[in-house]
This record gives sequence, structure tokens and C-alpha cells, in this order.
Amino acid sequence: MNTLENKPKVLIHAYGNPGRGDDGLGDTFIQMCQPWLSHESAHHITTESSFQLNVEDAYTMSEFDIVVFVDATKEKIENFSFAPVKPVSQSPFTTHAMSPSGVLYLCNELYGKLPETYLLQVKGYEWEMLEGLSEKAEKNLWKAFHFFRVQLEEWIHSEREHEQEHA
Amino acid sequence: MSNVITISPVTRIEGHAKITIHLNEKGEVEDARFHVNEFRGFEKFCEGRLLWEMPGLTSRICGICPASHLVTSAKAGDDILAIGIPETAEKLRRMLTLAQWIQSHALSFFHLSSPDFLLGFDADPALRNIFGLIQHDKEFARKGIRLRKFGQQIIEFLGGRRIHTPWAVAGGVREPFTKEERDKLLEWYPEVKETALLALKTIKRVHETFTKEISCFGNFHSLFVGMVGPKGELEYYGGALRIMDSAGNIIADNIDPREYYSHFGEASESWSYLKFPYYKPLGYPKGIYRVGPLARLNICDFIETPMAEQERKLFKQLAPTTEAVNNSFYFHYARLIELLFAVEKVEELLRDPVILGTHVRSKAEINKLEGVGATEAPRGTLFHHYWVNNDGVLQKVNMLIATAQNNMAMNRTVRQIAMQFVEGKNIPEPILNRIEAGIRCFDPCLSCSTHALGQMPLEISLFNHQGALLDRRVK
Repeated sequence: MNTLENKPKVLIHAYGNPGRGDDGLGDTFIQMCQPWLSHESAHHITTESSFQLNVEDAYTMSEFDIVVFVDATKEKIENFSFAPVKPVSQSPFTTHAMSPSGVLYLCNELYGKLPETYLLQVKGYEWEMLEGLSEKAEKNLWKAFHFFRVQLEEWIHSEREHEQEHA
Repeated sequence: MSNVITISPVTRIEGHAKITIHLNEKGEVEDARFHVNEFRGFEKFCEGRLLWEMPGLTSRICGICPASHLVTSAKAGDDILAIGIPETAEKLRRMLTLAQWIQSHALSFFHLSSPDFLLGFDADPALRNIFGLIQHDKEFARKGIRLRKFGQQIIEFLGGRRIHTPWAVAGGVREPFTKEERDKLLEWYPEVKETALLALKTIKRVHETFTKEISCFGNFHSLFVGMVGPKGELEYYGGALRIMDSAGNIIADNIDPREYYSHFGEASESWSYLKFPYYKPLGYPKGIYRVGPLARLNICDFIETPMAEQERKLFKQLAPTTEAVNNSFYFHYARLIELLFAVEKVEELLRDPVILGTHVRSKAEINKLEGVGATEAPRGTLFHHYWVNNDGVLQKVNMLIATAQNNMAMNRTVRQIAMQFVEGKNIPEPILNRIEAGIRCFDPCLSCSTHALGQMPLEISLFNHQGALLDRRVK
């Protein structure tokens, strides 16, 4: 039996511009996840990095069971936040500002799919044209990564149990 | 002193901007301006970097047309290395450039402008967006997404999905194209061609519906600038610059794009960070010109693919006698003709065995200390001009982006629409939307000159003749 078929398909999609200082938090997060996912042979977990969310991401996410968006934020949070996303149609629309909730709404409306969706936001501070993260943002990133790793391990662990059941 | 209305930021364009409308003592529109508020400074950022890094680096300028910057930068590198690139590499770069057109033009029409066209400029603003569009016609929205996805798929196969992949490099490209990828892309046909034709059919209906808007959406005389191929054909990757006036006269031709700076100057205004390029022989601001789909369709003698050429002939009939098509509303139509051309041309390239060649890169050292690359990006002619030292370290960079070249034209469009529709101190939302829609004709991408963090609000303000704020809307 192909056990992959019995695993939930997970997409971790970071967005932001790494040429804009802390706006690259999401992309760096993906780079931190990739070696670990590879080591764990978590082939059902896909990572993606882009400048911003756009309409076609609705199509992409319709092929997954769980989607986690990762973004840098200026919002007043302490280090990071992790929260479920609900589909919302009233988002202001520019393609730069396509929100996770807006993309999820499109996914549901256009493709009849509503994957379990989360948004991981990591607080950033510097947004000018420079490569690399600010010291404070990097600390937040590590906190977010340690938190998320537990969540991700849970998904990997449950699938292993799933695999054993079918072995 | 005059009254001023400000619209900031403009929605459904790529970037952040605001519009101010100035009223005179009688409460009539005296002036309107399209402002860009944030300075990119990307050129300074590039100084001190190595030439070979530039394609990957400059593709970070914009999340909307990274492939255009990638290819243009690689071409500037070719110029500095003073080498020709392998035929396979050129065809693959051409395909990448067309893929950028497809995904960008599809987004512009299906998802940014169609809400106005299909729901109407007077429709409920809460619905006049992509979400309202899918309530109106889900299949239409889905087809648009599929077409854009096709363009993205080409970019992904050629350049990799990851952002900033420097696939195109000075001397060619890093990786060849595979037969498997070619076959997968061919599976998209005939669907993508049918969708491009659907878009054209739709815009023709729009032309019949919005006659009042069309008459004043940037309908003025200006020059048109772009590149054409050696036979005068529509060009997108190479070729020579041609300049046409609004009467349809070619006033300059066969200009080497590397000499662009001899023909175009860049003015600035205190109220906008976006440059104001102009045609030097006419000076500023008389040397106003437009680039992009409308310009390209005006200046070319023909299109080399059959279906797009048939549409180009219809497009030319929009102008009386031999004049250029001067109305900016027809940017949309021109864009969709280009979309059809791109879809046709990509199919032709995919069926060309040369694209599967494995010799894709020529190598050389620094042979010149200055180089220019130019391509036709979705929004118009894009120039990258680099100066390097003997080690290939960038000493100076100048980029002339398409949206900046349309800056004067966008300002004139905003003023024209405001004068036509704005009356009194309260501006109904549909009027504001018409002003925004006028700018969207140009499909401007301000990412090249503004902060692309992800929050792109729009602000429109109205000021009275004493400079007092009368009305302000933020979306």
C-alpha cells in the first residue's frame, strides 16, 4: 500500500521579500524547515516560498488537506502568533495584499475545498532594502520555529502511527 | 490655492500610490495628480555587488514581473561580457519573457479589471472585486486563474519555483529545458488559447458597454515607444526602439536600445518619487510618451502569429485613418491581443526542437565596463544599465522601468477623468473608482519603486482651493 496516499497533505507556504530585511522571515523559516523535513522523509509535507499570495494560490491550496501560511508582520504581537484562518470574502483586494483568508475563500468558492488553514506570523522590525534579518526578528523566528516544530512533529508522528496501522 | 481630492492608495494596481484632486474656487477640477509615496532606491542597493549576482538580485525588485528583470539583467550582463548567447538559451529566455506576459496580462484582465467590466463601475464597491466576480461568474474567474497558472508553470519549469532563482545569467541560462517539461506544457493547449480568445470576446463587449468611460480614459496625444523586430514585427525580447507620434508617424526608428539615454531624459517632481521620463528632443513635459501594450500594438507593422495578427488589424481600425490608437482604455484590448500572441508563440517555441538543446551558456570575462539590457516587460520597455570595474563589481546602476515611463500619461489620464466626472465637494465612490480604473488601464506596477511588504492601501483625497481637505477615502 502506498502509505503516502493515507497521509494528510500539508503545505507550508511562506511569503515575503527577502530583499526587504525582516520581510524575509517567512522565506528563512522555510529554509529552516526544509532540512528537517527532508531528514524525517516527510514527503507529504510541501514547502513553498513566494513574494506574495496571489489568486492562483487558491488553486494550489485546494490540493492540500492542511495549509500553513507564514508571514512577517508589523502588528503588535510579542514574538509570533499562530492562529487558524477562516475564509473571508471582504478582504481589500490588490494582488500584493491578497490575504490568507481571501485565498482560502477563493479556494472554497472556486474549487469547493476548505483545507484546515493556519497563519503563522512572526514579528519583524526592519523593512528597508537589505538582506538578512534583524537580531530581534531572528530571535522571534527561532521561537516561532521551536513552537511550530512541535506542531509539525505531531503531524508527522500521527502519520507514522497511521503508517504502522496499515503496515 | 485650490481644492484637492486625494485617492490613496489606488486599489487593484501593483503597489502603493495616492491620487489628489485639486479644485479651484468654483469647485471645478483644476488638476489631479498620481503620487508615488515611497522610494525604492534599488539602484543604490545594487552598487558594490558582482555582475553575476545581478539577475538574481534584480528579480527581487518585483514580485509581479521578476522574470522580466531577470532576463533584462542577464542581457545587460551579455553586453558587458560582449558575447552572443547560444540559440537554445535565447529561445528559452524568449519563452520566459512570454510566460511573464501571460501571467501578468491574465491577472490584469481577469482579476484586476474584470470586476469593473463585468459588474459595472457603479456596482456595489463591496462586490466590485475578485470576490464579487466569482459570485457573478465562477467559471470566468477559474479560467483566468488557469491561464495565469499556465504562465507560472512555464516560469516554474524554467526558473524554478523558489523566489530569486537566478536561472538566466550573463551568457545564457543555467539549466536546459527537458522534454518532459515541454510535453507537460503542451498539454495546456488548446485550453489556454480558448481562454485567451474568451478574454478578447469579453473586452469587445466591454467596448460596447462603456462608451462614456472609454471616451475620456486617457484619450490624448502622446508619443508611443517600444521595440520592434527586424521586419517591424511585435517584439518582446530584442529588436530596436521605434518612436511613433499620435498621428501615426514614425519619428525615430532602428534605435539601438543601448543608446536609450541619448533619447530619453528623466525629470522629477517634488510630489512624487516616481521618475518622469520624457523624449529628449521634445523636452519635459512635451516629450510625454506611453509604453506597454498600447504602444507596442501601435508601433509594430505586424504580429507574426496568425490569430493575434488578425486581432491587430481590428485594433488598428479603432483609430481614424492612419493615426495611432490614442485612447488609453484600449490598453486592455492591446494587452489581450498580446496575451493571445504570447500563447500562440509559446506553442510555436515548445514545438521547436532547438529549445531542448543542452548548450545553453557561453562564458567570458569582463570585456566592457558598461552594458545595457532591454526587454519588453508586460508593462513596457525595461532598461537595465550597468557600469562595472574590471572585476565585475557594479559601480553604478540605472534602471528605467515601464511604469515610470507611463508616469506622465497616468497623471494626464487621472486629470482627464477627474475633469469629466468630478463635480462638487463630495465624490461618489463610483467616480473615484473610475479614476482608479483609468490608472489600471496602464496596469502599473509600483513594486519597482515602492515598498513591497504586502500592505498596499489606497488613499484618495480632495482639497479645496485653500488647501483644506474636503474628502478622503482609504481602501
